[in-house]
Amino acid sequence: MSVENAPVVDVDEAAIPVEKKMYYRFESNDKKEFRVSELAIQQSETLNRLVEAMGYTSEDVENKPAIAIENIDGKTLKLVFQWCEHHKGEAIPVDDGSVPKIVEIPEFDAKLMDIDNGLLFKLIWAADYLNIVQLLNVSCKKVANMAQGKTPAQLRRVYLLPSDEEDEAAKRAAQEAQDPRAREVEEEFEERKRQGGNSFF
Amino acid sequence: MNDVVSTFPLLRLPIDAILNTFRTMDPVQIFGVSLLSKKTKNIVKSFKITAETLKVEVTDMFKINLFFPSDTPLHFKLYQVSENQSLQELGTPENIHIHCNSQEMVWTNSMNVKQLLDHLKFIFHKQIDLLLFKENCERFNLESVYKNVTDVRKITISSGTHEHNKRILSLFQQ
Repeated sequence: MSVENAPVVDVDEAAIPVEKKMYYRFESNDKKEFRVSELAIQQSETLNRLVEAMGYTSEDVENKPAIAIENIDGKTLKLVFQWCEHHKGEAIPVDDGSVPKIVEIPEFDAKLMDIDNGLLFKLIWAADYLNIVQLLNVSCKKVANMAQGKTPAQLRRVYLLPSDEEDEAAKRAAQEAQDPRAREVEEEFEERKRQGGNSFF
Repeated sequence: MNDVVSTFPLLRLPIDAILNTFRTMDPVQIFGVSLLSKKTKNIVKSFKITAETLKVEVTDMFKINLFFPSDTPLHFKLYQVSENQSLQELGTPENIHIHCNSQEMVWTNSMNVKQLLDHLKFIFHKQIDLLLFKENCERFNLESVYKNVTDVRKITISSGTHEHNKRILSLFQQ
């Protein structure tokens, strides 16, 4: 099944079999609405727990506002739900702790993740936040694959990894940025001491 | 003209995702990232990626072999000494040849043998299980092997002259 044809967003009601399936409505932080099947939601531990706790009936789903997912935008959420719909009913993998962790990227997932790195970054944050184990596995594997055949210098450029000197400079800059407030607190403390107070608080 | 490099801010991912990414890399890539700074070295260490075996082999080559539970070994070849070469001291090899998952890579290197071994022990939570002296191991200066390969749990001598083997035993039994 191609990514474009994945039955996720704006599900065609006529395509739903005779037995009425439960769907939920979700809204992204940029007000895009999605209808997602109950079975697809099970791929996300976070959403699954949420809808269980809410105990919505089919009528509730239609009558109440869509469930807001405030830290994920519509473009990212669309990918997430496409993935969940495609993989609905599949067992959630159990981590056996092995290193290297063997993860294969199926064709559908590879096409779904044929996106720019900015969107891939958001997709990983979303998979982590929504606790979608296998989506996190495949998206992280895609990031890991960027390291294939690279020398350390190339790895530094690809993953934007700072050198010790750059880390030190960033640390110094952060300390300097904090200093004005730290100085204010210190001055306030000294002033209170002069006024005879025993405690800062 | 500069190469256009596709970049990805790995360390700005959530910690679970960083761990997941490292764990799906081959050991050679994990090792490569660990070389980049103290921070990345400590991050890799914190993930407790543990090698099953760390072996050092002295033959006509000086090799370090790491084995992992998932059956993806990581081999380093630091020196190769031919018959007519003078006695090889262990120092800082200019290049290291790395073999992992059917890939052979040559990386420029700035660490001496002891630093490299200490680095591997640190990031992969493993002491040296075995130091193997095999055929043609006499091509390496024994004192320099002793100074660089420390804290070894077991030594195996499978070849060499009686005199050389006696020297190995007397040095490493100190």
